[in-house]
Amino acid sequence: MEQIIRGCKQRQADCQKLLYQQQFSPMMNICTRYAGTREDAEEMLNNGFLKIFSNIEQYEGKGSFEGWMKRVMVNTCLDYLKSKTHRNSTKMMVMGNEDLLPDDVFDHALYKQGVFSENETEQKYNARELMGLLNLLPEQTRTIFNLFVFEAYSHKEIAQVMNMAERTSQWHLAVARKTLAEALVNNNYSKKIAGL
Amino acid sequence: MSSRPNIDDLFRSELEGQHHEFSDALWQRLDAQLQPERDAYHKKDRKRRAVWLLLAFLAIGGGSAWYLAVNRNSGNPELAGTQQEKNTTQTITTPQQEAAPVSRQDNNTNNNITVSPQTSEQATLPVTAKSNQPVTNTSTPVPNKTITNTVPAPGPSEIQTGKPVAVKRNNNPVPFETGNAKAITAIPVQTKKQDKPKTGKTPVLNIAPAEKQTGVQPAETVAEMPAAEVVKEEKTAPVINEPVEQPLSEQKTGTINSGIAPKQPEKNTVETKSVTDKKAKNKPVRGKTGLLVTGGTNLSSPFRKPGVYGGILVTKTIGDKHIFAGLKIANNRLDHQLVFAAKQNQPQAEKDAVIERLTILQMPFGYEFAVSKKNRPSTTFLQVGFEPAYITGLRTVYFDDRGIPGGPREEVVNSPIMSKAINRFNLSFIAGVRKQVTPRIGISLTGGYSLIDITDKQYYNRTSTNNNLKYIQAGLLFRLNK
Repeated sequence: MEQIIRGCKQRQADCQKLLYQQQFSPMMNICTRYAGTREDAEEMLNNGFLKIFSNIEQYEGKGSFEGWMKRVMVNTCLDYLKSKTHRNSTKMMVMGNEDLLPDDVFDHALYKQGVFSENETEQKYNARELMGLLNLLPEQTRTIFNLFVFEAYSHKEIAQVMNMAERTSQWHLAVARKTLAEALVNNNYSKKIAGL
Repeated sequence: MSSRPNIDDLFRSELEGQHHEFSDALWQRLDAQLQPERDAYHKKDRKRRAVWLLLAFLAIGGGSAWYLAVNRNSGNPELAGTQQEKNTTQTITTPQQEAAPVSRQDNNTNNNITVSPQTSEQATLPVTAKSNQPVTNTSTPVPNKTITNTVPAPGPSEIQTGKPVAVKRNNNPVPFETGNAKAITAIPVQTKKQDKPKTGKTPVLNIAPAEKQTGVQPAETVAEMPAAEVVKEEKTAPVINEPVEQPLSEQKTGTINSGIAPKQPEKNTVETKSVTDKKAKNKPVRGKTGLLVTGGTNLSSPFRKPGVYGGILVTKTIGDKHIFAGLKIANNRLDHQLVFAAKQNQPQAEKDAVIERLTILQMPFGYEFAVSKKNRPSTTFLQVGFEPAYITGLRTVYFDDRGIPGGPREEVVNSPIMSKAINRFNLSFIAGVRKQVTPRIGISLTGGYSLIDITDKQYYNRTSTNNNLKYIQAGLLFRLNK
């Protein structure tokens, strides 16, 4: 990995491609959680990698490189969402939740009709389904849920990043949990959350 | 409430391990975006290498200029005169080996003395004698009477003198060779009382007109003498000078001349000197090179606080033209606000930064115009030229918003982003005045205005103020050479 990083610092195309290949899946994973659509996720991914390659000198070898990349990618996603929100704020106001569901990530209609059976590849099915449920959340609520659950941000950090009060962050998280729990219960996922 | 952590765990466990297939199309898109940055990086890298190469050349050039300036001192007329005097002294010296044939021939009834004729080049070479016979110690002290009665020796180049002489000796033990030896006869040969040569001191072997004759220097003693030591002529003794046919120019070379002048050798020596001086005067005037050390302060300007600078300056006069070149290092304190944004990474928020200190390597060069009378110690020069510069040190404060516009900002000192955003190479137009108050000390006032923006091409510069560097330097100059 050190060799790849060194090559990336020297702007060597083959090293950059190698890093892109290696980190495509985990980084794409982050982007799909924050993005409403696959197109947005791809845009976020490439923007994030562009930032990583452009600012790779900032990584001084302290801590894990993957952690640094992840942090850059999350910041890029947040940046993207903010700029997108700014651009499409009017449009977002009139759009329903179903409009935000990506067909290739989760077929909300099929899910509703119970087409997906429990015998299907559970990992894939669950992941896609959960991603669909996640996309049911309003963007800001989803972002806060992502930051709290996946990025392990504290409410204080989320408040700083999202430029809001800590209590607002707590409220968004509570709403996200409640909405997701209800959606899971409604779709026979109560067995998955045995603690309910 | 208890279910909520389970929801978190469920989503974390299910979504974190999701696998996505690599998309080559996506990479192609990113690759196209990265290409300009790669090109810019490699171009900058080449530029950086070129700058280092330039610096290396300048350092070598500066060193060479210094070397030349120092060496020219040794070639100036005054020093040349001194050298000539030295040569003159050497002219009246005779290698030690000359005594050897003397001693050998003293054994003959004719009292012939063989002195090898030496050109300047030969002076350091072994002196030859008529035969390979070693020098013996059997020489008989020659009475003064015999010495003064000179007998002419055959041969056109043989030189006679009836005067007693003092001979400075080269103490190199020299093998004798047959041939090339020319004899002079009846040179009054005598040696001073043999002083035992002390280590490191000049041994003396005089062939002088003295009643104190103690005989000729024994060959063994000669051989034991330290090498390459020269004995000065005793002033009371007339000079054994070069034969007439030896060109004067050879005498100028500062080598030992063993010729013996028949008449008025002192006068001959003086003539030699004067001819040499004439020759020196007739030499074409060469460019005068000055080597100066300079240092001073950067006066304040709209966004610059006082700083310091120091370096060297080489001036050269070629005919009526004066040129200068130098190497300075300037440390500037600034309070320059920058607002910039990367061109390639749009959409991206503008970044704020402050440049607090710059260390710049400056390499001024250009013309000087003398505005006062030349060759006076208080010459005043107007200078115009250009000054390539390279920012070697930088202290910046960059306000990092972690890629989140409007988010909390962290102050990062010497951020790598700033290193990229600042254009390290610079070129300024300079103009100033230099006044030599004394031959050694001068003062200067120079202003510079850079022709290149301090923000790198890859970044937008949104600062309302002018980002071109500008400065006024006032300082002292100290001339190292005359």
